[in-house]
Amino acid sequence: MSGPTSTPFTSAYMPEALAQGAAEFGWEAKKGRARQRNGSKVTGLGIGQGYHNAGRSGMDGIVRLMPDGRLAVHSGVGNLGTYSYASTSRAAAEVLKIPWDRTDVIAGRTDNHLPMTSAQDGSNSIFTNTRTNFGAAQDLLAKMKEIAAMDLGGAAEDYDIENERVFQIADSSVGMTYAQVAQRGMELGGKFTGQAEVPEEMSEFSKLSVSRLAGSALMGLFKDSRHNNNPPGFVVTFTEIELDLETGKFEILELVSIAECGTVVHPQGLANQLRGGAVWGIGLSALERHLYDPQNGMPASTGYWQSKVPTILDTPLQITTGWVDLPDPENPVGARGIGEPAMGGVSAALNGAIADALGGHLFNAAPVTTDMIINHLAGTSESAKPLAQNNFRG
Amino acid sequence: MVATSHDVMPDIELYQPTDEENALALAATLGQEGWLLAGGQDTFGWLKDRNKHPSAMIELTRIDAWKGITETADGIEIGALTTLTDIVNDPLIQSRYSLLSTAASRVASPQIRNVGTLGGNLNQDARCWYYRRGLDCYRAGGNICYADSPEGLNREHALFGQSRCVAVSPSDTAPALVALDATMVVSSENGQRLIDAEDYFVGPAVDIVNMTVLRPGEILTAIRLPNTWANAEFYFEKVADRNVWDFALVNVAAAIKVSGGNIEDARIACGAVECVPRRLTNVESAIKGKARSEDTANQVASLASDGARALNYNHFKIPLMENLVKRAIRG
Repeated sequence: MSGPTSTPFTSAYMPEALAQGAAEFGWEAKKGRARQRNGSKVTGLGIGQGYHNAGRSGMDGIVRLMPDGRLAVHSGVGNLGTYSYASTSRAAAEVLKIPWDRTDVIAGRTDNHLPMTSAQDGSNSIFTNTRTNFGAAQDLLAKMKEIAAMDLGGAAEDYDIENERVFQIADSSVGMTYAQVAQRGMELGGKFTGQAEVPEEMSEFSKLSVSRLAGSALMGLFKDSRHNNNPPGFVVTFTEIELDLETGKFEILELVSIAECGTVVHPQGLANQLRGGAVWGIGLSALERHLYDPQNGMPASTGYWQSKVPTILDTPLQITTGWVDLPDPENPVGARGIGEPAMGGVSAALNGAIADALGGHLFNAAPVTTDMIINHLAGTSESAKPLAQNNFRG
Repeated sequence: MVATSHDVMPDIELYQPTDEENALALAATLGQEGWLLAGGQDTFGWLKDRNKHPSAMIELTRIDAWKGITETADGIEIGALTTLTDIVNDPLIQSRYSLLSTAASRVASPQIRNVGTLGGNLNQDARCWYYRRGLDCYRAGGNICYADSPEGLNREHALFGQSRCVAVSPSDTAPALVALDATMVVSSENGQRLIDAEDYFVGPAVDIVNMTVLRPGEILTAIRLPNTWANAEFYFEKVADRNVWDFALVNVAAAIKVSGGNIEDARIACGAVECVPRRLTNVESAIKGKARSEDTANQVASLASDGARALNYNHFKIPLMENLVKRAIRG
């Protein structure tokens, strides 16, 4: 896992993301609006970049080709509104060229016999778990070709797949359906069904799952190696706000977030990540203080009232999303993760827009709350300090 | 006694009277022990935090006589059990007393307004986070104020009327009712008391434990709005951290009568700056006879905060209050 070191990025396309964001937002046309007054309101513009290292490696993959020809992808990945269980499993279906509606994601419970999967945190899921599912599917594909060669003649490399069949490249009429291959694999047993030659390096947990599944289907198993560099997740956000100088409140008029996270695997899931991250970033920059009474050590940010999670009326009417969609070389499907960056980009852009509206480099803190804005405007920010916050204070 | 678990609702005797007589009799009998339950949006927070332990509750929501909006000879009467949503949507209130429907529309969230009542919004307890935490502060019967201490977190607290306790009036509808010169109808077995909205709320110098004059055995059953302020020019604004589901940092409610371009009379009240809705009589006097204009607003705005004493972290309420009053006058 890459930490805060000088590890090179696996790939990065921030200039492309900035250009795309500027075009989508209409930066050239809008930049003149900064600090324009409209009654008691003033316009502020902000651009932010969000980053998080966005991928791990070294996990395990288990896929099965069932006797009815369906693909089962075992996965410990969940769904945080991100459809991650689906997007990561998709890599296996693509390798085997099997339609998504013929693929079953077996997830959600440990007793579904799952492989060791990365924790779904730190923007890593898509990178980490497409590697394992891709690898397990490659192992399954190799076994399918080996069985076909065994039964139909020639060598494994003489075979290819299409339309849920394994067939000879030289004569596509010679082949087997996926169901037939799976059934044949079950007759053969041994390494084909997880009863022998289970990769030694797989985790004990994954091996236990394999042992429970052994003999039930033609099985693909994979222990992921380690990747080399640091896969980044980036988001670029452009925002326009209107801040009321009399109330200290602001409205987000426009918000555009562009993801730079390699190849896009699941557009709907990615759009959700970007929108959810935007709400998260609004909370970080404008609302969610972490406070403790310093004398008594009591947490003051308890409950939904004092934690100030944004409500729907604190978010813009529309959050525009987009993505660069250029592949990363260290992931088999080109993907990198995108959890935290979606928050960071919005947070930075919003803090920038607030400072811009007020005409300077201000606050150096998040969140910037209504009281801080009013104190600044009233010139009392020196004598009336904001509440000491325990997060992101400069 | 039944063993009490902290993981479930505490043991409470629940009374659900369906008529006024029964409710008032229960209130009289149970006295201090009879916790009045309406929409529960204050009550259940206390219970969930395990910081209040009522032994008996009188649920008032089944008493139809205390719900609804009716026209009277000199205005309208609103049952205290009327939900905030019903007040927001009522055509009579919208047309004549839109100050109240607007204020009610800014309370909490739609879900809370659907069950929360006007009486509950007015009678809710202080929202000071130290007090709500169940600490032994003055308001809770102890002898310390955690909020008004050298390091107290008192951003949401009072600018005025601090007297050992610095909690503020949390209601959005209370300032609107003060501005509308409403009358509170308080019922008990002994009959009714009629109390001006302005006198209904009390600060810690008068009573440090209760925020209203309501006494054990009494129930706020109705609110009357007089014709005097019907169809006046109104202004309500609430500034809170969140745009929904939050308490005011400061709110303002103004009823202004304009005649011949000049302000004939006005009632202005601010919430969340004192333990009671703070009526700004000095501002009201200063604007009488003047045009309802930006100039007038600018001239008098600083009067709004006259006498304010900021605590550690609530300085911002002074300019905020002045600005809101300015906006109210400017219109």
